[in-house]
Amino acid sequence: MLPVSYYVMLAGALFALGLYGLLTQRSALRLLISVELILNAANINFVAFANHLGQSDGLAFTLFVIALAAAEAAVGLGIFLHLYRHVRTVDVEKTAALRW
Amino acid sequence: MAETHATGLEQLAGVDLAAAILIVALPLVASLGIFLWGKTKWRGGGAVAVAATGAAIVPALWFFVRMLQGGAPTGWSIEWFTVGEYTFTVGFLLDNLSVWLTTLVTVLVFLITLFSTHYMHEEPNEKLRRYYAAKMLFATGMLGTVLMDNYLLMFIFWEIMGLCSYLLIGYWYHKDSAATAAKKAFLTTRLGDILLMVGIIILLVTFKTLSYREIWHHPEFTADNPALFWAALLIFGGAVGKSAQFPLDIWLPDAMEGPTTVSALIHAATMVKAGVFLVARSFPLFVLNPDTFLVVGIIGGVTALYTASMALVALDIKRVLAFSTLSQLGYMFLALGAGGIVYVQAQNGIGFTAAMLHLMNHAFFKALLFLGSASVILGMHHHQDLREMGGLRHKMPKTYWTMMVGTLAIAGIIPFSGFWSKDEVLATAFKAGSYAGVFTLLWVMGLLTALMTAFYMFRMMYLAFHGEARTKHAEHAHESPGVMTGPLVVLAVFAAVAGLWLVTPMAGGFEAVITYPYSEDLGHPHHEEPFALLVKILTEPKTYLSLGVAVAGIALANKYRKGLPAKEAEEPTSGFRGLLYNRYHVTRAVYEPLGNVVGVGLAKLSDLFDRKAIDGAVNGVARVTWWKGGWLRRWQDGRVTTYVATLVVGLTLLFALMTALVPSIRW
Repeated sequence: MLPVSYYVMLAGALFALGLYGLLTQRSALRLLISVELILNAANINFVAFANHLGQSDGLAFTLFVIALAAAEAAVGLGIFLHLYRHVRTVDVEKTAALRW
Repeated sequence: MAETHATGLEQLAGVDLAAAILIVALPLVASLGIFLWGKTKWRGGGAVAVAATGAAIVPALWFFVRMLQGGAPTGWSIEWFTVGEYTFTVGFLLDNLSVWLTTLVTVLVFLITLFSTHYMHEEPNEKLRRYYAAKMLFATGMLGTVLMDNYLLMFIFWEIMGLCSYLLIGYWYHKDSAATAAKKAFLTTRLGDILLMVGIIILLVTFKTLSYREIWHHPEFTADNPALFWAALLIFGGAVGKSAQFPLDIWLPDAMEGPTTVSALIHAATMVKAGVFLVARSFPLFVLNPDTFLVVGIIGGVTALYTASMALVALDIKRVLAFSTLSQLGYMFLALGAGGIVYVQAQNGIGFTAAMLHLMNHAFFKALLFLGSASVILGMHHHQDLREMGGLRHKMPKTYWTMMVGTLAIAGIIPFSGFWSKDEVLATAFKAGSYAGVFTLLWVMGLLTALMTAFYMFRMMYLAFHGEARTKHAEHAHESPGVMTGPLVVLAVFAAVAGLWLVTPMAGGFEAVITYPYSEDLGHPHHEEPFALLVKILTEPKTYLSLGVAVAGIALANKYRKGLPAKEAEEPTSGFRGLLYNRYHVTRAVYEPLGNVVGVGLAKLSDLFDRKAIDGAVNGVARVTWWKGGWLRRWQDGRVTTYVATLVVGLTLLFALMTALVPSIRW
């Protein structure tokens, strides 16, 4: 059984990766992937501590997060498709105007 | 709603109550109707107005006849609303004073309205509607002021009169002078109204009621309370504004901008009398503090002389009458002031009677003179400068003779009405002189005023009607039709004989009917028998003095029989005549600087405050928002990356801050 600190470090690395992607990437799809990484970093934490403390609360939260991530991906992709049809790009730097 | 019997009077009921309500309601309903249908259906509403005012005479006479038969005063009041400890009532007070004045007002309103149906016939219907609607509303206001039994309702009707006066002076509002005159009248009387309101509030706070009779019978209604002294003076202030007494006299001459029938009704016969009525109505309050009578008498006497002198050189027929009205109103206040002193010292109500008799006589002869001048103005095709007239006697005989009756009455020639009342006024002033020396001086001023009155009235008559026609308007002048001369004749009859009531035993003589105290429970009226009074007047040397003064005034006016002397033909700008013609330059020397310094100064100050403080605050908030917004706007650049970065930095700072500040949190 690995110590819980390993999981936390993994989650931290994953979170940092996601944050890096969120701050540097210009493609909306990549941003979406980065958000998924951050969410999953949180999931790892939940599961790890649930296991460590012997409580199932964290597992329940993980299920919520997965559902949320799925919904987010569905809505997000829908928005990006629509965005692409309008402006032929999903580059968030180029779609910075707040209104038309 | 419970009936209150605190007034201790026999309550009106049934037909009587309906009659009392009708007097006020008839003109009010007519006013509303004319306002709604006057333009289209009722062709201006003149006929409706005449019918309504004619009908209002009937209930007024109903009460008047009963009063002549010696009926006791009646009243009626119901609770209107209660605020805390203050209870307000709605009610009528029908004592001799109000019944007599109501009858007078309804008759005058009827005659003048009838007259105006022809005088105003050239006006289009949509404007006539305004004229008659305002006139009927005015009648409501005047009758309500007279009939109500408490200060609150009296004040409401009082203000309605002020509004109608404003509307009617500004009838030709497209003329600059008329619009300005209306404003001036409204604002000047408003100054008095504010004083009146403060006076009424003092009474309310002191007695918790505003009903006249409840105040008079209140246990705290004593001379010990200094507040009542100020209440009396403040109420007199309201009267000074409404009756255009010095120093608030400036609006009335300008009020002549309205149609002449309006001047006749509102600015001669009725509304300006409301001030006199108010003092008469509040007489018990003044009696408590006899010193207030000094103020009333001095203001009255000064106004009488001061304004009569202005009439000496006036060149506009209406202006002569306007100054004369001011002067005669001054007489009434002089009589009230002197009469109050005499009453307090000798329990003799003759001064009160003299003031009221003069009020009635003046209402008749001044309405007559104004309507006569309206007839002249119409005959002259709307020219009212005396210099353009002359020789109208043969072209307008009815107007001439009726106006001559009015002129003899105002000049105080026996046996015309003005003689009796003016003589009583002067006699009262003389009598008061033995109790307060200043009244002897005021008596002399009154005599001087009588001289001037006879002079300027005959000057006006001679200039208008005698000599040769001076312009082609005067040559082509024509007599007015019967609907105008009819009221003139009726008024002439009244102007001739009204004063005789003092010495005729009708209902025991005028003094028995209208004297102070006007209600038995305030004391027992003392009065002389009419015949004894007649003998007394005719055997009194001072009677012949005032009569002689009047004759002297007429004789002095003789030089105007042939028209104006050449040196008086121009509007005087300098010298004594210029001083009089320009009303002693009071407007320019006092009111204009006062207005320019105090008024404009205050206006500028509030403008400055408005622009700098109020606008400054508003604009400042906007400017700060704009400026800070420009700075904050940069964070909203629409780029996701910026938002994420802000989020990360913000959250990090937040965590760091919480860790540092709240040590109990351990991560």
